Amino acid sequence: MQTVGKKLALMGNEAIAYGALEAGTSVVTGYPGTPSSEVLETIFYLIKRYNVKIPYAEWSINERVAFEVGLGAALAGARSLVTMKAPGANVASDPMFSAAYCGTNAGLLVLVADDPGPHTTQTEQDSRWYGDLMKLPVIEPSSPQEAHDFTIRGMELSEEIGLPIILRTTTRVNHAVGDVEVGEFKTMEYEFSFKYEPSRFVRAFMPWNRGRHKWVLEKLSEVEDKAKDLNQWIGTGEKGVITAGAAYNYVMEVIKERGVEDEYSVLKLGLIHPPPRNLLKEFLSSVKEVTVVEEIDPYLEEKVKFLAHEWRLNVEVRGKQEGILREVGELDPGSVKRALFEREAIEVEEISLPRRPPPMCPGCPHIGSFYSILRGIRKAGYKKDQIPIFGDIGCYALSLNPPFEAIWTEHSMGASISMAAGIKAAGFDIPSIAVIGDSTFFHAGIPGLIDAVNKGLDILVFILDNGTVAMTGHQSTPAYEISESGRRLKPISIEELVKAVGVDHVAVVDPYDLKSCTEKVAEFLKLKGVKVIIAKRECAILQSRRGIEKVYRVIPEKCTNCLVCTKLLGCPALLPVDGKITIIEEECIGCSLCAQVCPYNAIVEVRKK
Amino acid sequence: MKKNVLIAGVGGQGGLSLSRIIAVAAVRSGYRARTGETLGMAQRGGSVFSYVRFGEDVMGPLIEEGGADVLLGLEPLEAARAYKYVSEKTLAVIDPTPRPTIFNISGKEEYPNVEELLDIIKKRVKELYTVKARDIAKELGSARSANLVLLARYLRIEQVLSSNVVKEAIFEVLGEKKGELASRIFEEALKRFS
Repeated sequence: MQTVGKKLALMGNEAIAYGALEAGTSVVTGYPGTPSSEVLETIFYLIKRYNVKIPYAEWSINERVAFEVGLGAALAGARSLVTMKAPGANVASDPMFSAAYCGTNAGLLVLVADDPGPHTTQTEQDSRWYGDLMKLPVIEPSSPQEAHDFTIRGMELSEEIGLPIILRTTTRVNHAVGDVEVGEFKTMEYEFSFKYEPSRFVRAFMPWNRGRHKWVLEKLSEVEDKAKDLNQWIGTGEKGVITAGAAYNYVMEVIKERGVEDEYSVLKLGLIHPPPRNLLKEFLSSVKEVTVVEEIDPYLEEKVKFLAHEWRLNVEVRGKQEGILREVGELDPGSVKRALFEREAIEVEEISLPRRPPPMCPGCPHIGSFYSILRGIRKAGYKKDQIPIFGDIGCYALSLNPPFEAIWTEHSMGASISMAAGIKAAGFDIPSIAVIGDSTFFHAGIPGLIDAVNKGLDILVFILDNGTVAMTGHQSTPAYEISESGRRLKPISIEELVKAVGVDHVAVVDPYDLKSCTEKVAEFLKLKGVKVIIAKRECAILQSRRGIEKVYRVIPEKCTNCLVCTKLLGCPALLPVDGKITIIEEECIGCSLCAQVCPYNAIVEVRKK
Repeated sequence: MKKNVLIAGVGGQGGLSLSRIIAVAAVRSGYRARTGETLGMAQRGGSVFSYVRFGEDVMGPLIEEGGADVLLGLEPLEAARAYKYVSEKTLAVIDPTPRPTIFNISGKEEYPNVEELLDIIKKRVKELYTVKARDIAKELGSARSANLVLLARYLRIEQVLSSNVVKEAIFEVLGEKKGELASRIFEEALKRFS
């Protein structure tokens, strides 16, 4: 391969993909989620670019399935990598807990991408705690180069120890681009290594479970010795800093900038769980004070304080619990500087500027859907604030912004349907609406729908089917015919699936047809039973990539500047300039929604040559 | 040598690609480089800060408050939003062409006065240059290359990366097809600012 030994500018996630292929990983799967998605995307790219042969690289329907596929593959003998964002780890957690009891045969690495900030995640979850809960080792890189190296090392370590390993990262590693030295891709030969061994794999017999619990504790006690190379001790000063991940960079930068390298000893942990006790004892015994610098929770801080107490060491330990670093939001060089040298947070002057939340894209089918849902509610005789709209995870959460201000909740994958059903379970005779995207429906919406049908909780489910996982960058769904790696897929039809479940009323509508879409919402709101409307239209970005055949234009003489189009649709291609509407031609994809709502027929179609 | 570059813009304006192009050019020039970004929420149309740091010794992707050597602003409101990161050492290059927010489009708010937005930055930095990057890029063949017009303007003030290396980086990041037009626009823009 032409990149061997070369320094490339790679994003952390790209570096993980290179590392995985260099480690001979044979099965890669996951579910898209920022900041983790680029790992699989890069694998797909590398497969094509360098004609890499890999048995399986595919997105899964959700993280739980992804982990189970990875576990099965690793038990069969194939090195496997499973990727997910932090909430995805919650979805995958059930089988991950049990995996600590059966262990693995080949290397099994689970990338869990946390998002301090948060930038693109519903919670600031610190997934390091999963190490303690699941009894699985956790390792954490601090840079794109380490992301690459730890992927290879983690795969080996998983095999040496016989346990799946969590590769925990944060946004500032996943999405940071840095110089990374890469190596050669490797294809691993492996034999079928899954054996009949019920005491190891069957969790139905309790004495076996106790035996395996003992087994995993013994395994964990071996980790520190085997993973020594993941930790780094820098300097010999009396002031100690214990850190890990992206925060390590800030620590080193501010110490260097101040020129106080001689005063400090920095312990950077790459092995997070189990904590390297021997190393920590030595470090804590060699310094007078310790500041723990880490993202999100005071996780290492609590461990260090506990250990210092256990060993009766006379060392002062400070961190988030003393308020010198924040628990909410991510760290940066400034906050680390204050923690190390001034020890108090300074409030910076704030200038108030108008917010710029992202709007829906020009021509987004969801614009048509939300217009129709809100109109349909009124047409059915209700006021907007009388009917709760339960939202879900995806681009359509942007309907929280003007002009729609539609969703009442955005909770967790699939929750829209079951929470909407909860209103009915509580006995209220008001319509309850769930809006959910196609991929989110596949991921976690189906069980909730089955339960609503089965229990007779008559909700209206509006499935926004744009045919792709749009928000994370257009990954494939189970409705695709060919996957990113070129595999022929058997497409799953949402309509047939919904009908098979026994939904009472099913309709497929085009969100670009506002009139019939609105009427269907109004009609279904009045019906008893479980109703599903599937609003089917391809994501606007994919449409525009394929090429646009027509756009729309405003006839200035007919436009009365009533601004109805912008106020009802909020399409970013509609630009009010000094109270007059123009359509930005390069943004327009020809969806026709503005022409449909214009009361003066002032917006007309123009064919593109 | 160490440069902390902050790129402020609206999602879809090419801020992220620009940070990548600068990082690739820096690595190709033998420097260490780091990028990071702060996104508003989803993908398009929201506020985006991208950070690029390069030089002999850089580690983390973030720039601390007041730590930007260079501010490249693709849009005036977003450039103003970067006020915390600039200081009297900062060189700012900003396209003053406003992009309305969803609140402006839906008639809930007026877009702020552009001069006032630029003043927020102007009174904090060493020097502020404005350049109608989008208009120039459009004239040269594609409004999407406004990011490279801004870069060209900056490189005319401080030649920290050679234009050939930047062109190689444009091809590496954007691919052969898009790279062709983009690198030509970059070259034309450099000529225009000489």
